[in-house]
Amino acid sequence: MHLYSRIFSFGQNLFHRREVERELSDEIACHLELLTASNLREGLTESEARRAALLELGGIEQIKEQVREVRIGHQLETLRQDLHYAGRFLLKHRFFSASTVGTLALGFGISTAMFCLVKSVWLRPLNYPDPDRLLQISAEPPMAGLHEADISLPRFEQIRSRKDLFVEVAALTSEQLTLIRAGKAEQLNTARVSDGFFQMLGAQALRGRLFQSTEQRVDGPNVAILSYSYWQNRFARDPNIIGQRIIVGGESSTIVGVLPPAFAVPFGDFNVYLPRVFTVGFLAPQQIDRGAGFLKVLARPQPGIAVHQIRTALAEMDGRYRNRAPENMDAHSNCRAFPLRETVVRNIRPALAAVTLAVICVMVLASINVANMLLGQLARREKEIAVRHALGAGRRRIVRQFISENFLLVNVALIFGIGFAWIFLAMVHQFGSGFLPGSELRLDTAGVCFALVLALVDIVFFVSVSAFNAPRDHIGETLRRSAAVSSDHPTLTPFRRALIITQVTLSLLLAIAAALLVASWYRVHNVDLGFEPVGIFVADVSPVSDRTESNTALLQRLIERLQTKPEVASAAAVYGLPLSHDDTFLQYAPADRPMPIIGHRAVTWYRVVSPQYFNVMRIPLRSGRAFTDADKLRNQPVVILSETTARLLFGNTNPIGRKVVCGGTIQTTHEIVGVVGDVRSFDLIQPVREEMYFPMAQCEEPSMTLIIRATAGTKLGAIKKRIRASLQELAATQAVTTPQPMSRIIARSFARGRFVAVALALFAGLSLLVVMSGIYSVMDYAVTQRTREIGIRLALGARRRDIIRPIVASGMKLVGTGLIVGLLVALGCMRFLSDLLYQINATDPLAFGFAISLLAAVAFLANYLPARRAMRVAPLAALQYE
Amino acid sequence: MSKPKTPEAELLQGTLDLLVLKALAAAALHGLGVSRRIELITNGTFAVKPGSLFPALHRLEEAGWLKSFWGTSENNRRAKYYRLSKAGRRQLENETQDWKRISLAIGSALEAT
Repeated sequence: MHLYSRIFSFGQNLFHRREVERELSDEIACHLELLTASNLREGLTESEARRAALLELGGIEQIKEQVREVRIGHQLETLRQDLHYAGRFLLKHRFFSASTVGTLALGFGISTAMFCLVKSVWLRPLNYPDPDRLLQISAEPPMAGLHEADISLPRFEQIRSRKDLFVEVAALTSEQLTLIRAGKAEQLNTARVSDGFFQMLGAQALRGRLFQSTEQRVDGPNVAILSYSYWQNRFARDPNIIGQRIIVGGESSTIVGVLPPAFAVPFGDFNVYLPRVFTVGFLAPQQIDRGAGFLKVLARPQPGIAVHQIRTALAEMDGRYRNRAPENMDAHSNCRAFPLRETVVRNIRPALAAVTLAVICVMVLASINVANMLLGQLARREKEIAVRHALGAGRRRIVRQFISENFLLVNVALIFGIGFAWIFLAMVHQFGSGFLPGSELRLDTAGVCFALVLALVDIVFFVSVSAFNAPRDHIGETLRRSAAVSSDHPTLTPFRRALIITQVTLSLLLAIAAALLVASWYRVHNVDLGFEPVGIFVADVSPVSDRTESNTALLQRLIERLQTKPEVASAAAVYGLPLSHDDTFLQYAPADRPMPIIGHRAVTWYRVVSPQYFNVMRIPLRSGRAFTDADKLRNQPVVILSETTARLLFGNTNPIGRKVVCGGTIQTTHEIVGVVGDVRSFDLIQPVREEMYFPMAQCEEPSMTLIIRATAGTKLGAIKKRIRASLQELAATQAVTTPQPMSRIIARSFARGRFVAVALALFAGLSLLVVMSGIYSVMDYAVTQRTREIGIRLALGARRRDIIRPIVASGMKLVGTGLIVGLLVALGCMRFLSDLLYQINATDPLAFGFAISLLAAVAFLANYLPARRAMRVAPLAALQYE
Repeated sequence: MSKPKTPEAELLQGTLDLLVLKALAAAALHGLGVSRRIELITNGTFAVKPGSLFPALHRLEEAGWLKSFWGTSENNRRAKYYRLSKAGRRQLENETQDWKRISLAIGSALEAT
């Protein structure tokens, strides 16, 4: 009964408030009448009776308020009221609300998007069991520019045999193999994995099963496992996939399993997995036995063994390997172990860090801006607050009002912010998918929670700022204060000044960083590649199986035929296309000097090319000759060096006619016949490396890339058709991948630099907007306070110039302080960006100068415009302003 | 604005509910009537101001111990009357017992040496 009555009353109070209030008013009015009546009976006059009754009753409003306070649901009611007033306030001051909500929403959006990005890069790729214990074991790179080199088969077996050190050891190697289906050929990212690889990473087959140990033997059957995305895209999730056969790399393999969608290998995205990691198409068996490196090795140490213990053990194993097989190619390279997580994010870390810091700057700037705007509003509402004090609102009630206003503001901004985050993530996906691992960037619940936390932090920040700066003066003083006295009243508290200085500092940092990165990217973009990529189309050509005609012979015929066609200006073939990260290297030594033993020789990158290659790529010939048809298999083996290699080996002397010995397991002596210009083949940023070229006729390679320089105006479609037609005419059985323009391949190398530069430039631009609007609103408020004073001075004959100048000067003083502080910080901190900068100093004066002038100009405008606006007010109007 | 803190005023805040319930035990009354009755039955010690009375009445009504209805007052005007509900009568009994127990205990405590 008790509870039911309470619930009923609660409902009444909530939904029938007006009736309840009316009843209360009636009741009190009746009470008043009864008192008056009883006073009349006692003999007072009517007016006296009523007055006495009123005195006895006390304050009617106070009574009503006290009744309301004991009502059930009172708290809810006041909350509803507060929100209602907050909403009305925000709607009334539309410009204020729009700018604060907009600024905050942008900040929330960018921060949340960044959070999701960082999370997907740091966390997602490693959803393996106990991922922090996983190590990657690699070899020291043979030359600068690589982070690590691959392990050879003998070393892998040595490591695997140490059951005392490792619980599990597994390896992966990758190949580009051709898959033939329904007469169409496709170049696939294929991986070969050792026994236990999937189990080590905790993968379970979605369909079918994983590889068995029997399949990993030399004579094992040909089986394959598909990745989920490949099964989905190419086989349309065919439920009968298990048992079907596909032709991969010339062999017919049975599909035995499909991997789950969430599974990803740390070394890249592979479509098809094969067993028997020791049979790869690009290495001869002798090379594999003699220590050629081609494996990526993962290991899980035994529980209780730390990484440094592993490293010591590996060093000891290096020694034993060297003694056991001193002739092996990798006898003198040492093994290293790193936690897997480190290797995965190593490339990305500086870029991600830079962008994250930029985002934090923008968020802080946005919050400061809003805080400043709130303080401005607060000062404007001094009178309103004083009146509310007088009407009985306690200090707590007023602070509660601030909380509801800020709460509403931040929440509306939050909703928009989440929308922005979704948009930003889509943009990042568009721009950054080239180099960001874990390409699934989604706005998930963790992101939303992060946004909520940000919102909470901001609410707390704003409320404390408001509460601390709320006017505490005596009510009477506040009410009496008028515009006339306001010039004596300091318009900008030190706190607000500090906020502006902080904004300018942060904004300058962002602007300098953006200027540096954009300049760096511009230089990267204009770097001399050493060849002319515009107008070149490439396609991979590889044999379907062991056919009678060699790849080389076919390519020669294909090139000859293509050169007669109108769409083709010239054509060539290459093994090891520049900038495609298909890198191969070999050991070499000049023949006319004492040669170091195998394993200690210098290493160079190499390419196998058709005679027309240098022509098609427009690589200049420095001396000697290019390859000709005379360089056939039976004739003297020849080689062409790049400039850098020639200079390295022979200094300024003529290298033509001298000999080099190339190779590790199989060594051949080559005569140098020419020197060509350098080419940026690995990376746009790394310095140029040593390179050698061998003629196609003398080196058979399993698959090569066809290069076509198209005649002016030829489109990709025409090239596609021409290649297909020519292949048919030659009755070739080779598989050719879809041609693409060379520029697309190069663009991938640009991807990271472009992403960071664009992101930073965007954020710097945003921050400029934020700072400008922040300074503008603060200055606007300050000037408005002094309109009356300005009007008087104008009426008294002061020149406009004399009034504007001190106002702008005081504002610029603040800006100047911010710029100086920002400059000092930047000089110290910009060097952390060096990883991302190419051919530009972290303290490049031009970039610094540009950023400072831009910011100063923007700040000046933000100061000047409000002052000018105040000038337009006619003096009389100013005097009337109250 | 705080009320003058007489000892009666302090005590009243704690036991106002009890007095209101008792005042309505005999007959239904309107707000002024309750105030007068309390003054009467306490021999003039407690003069309950409307600022305390109305909140108490409404609180007791929401708890379900009083029921209200609109009737005609002595000067032929509409007025809001309150009466005890069944639960209210029980509550009055319980609180009376509690009060007697407490006052006995305090009384004996003050008598002790």
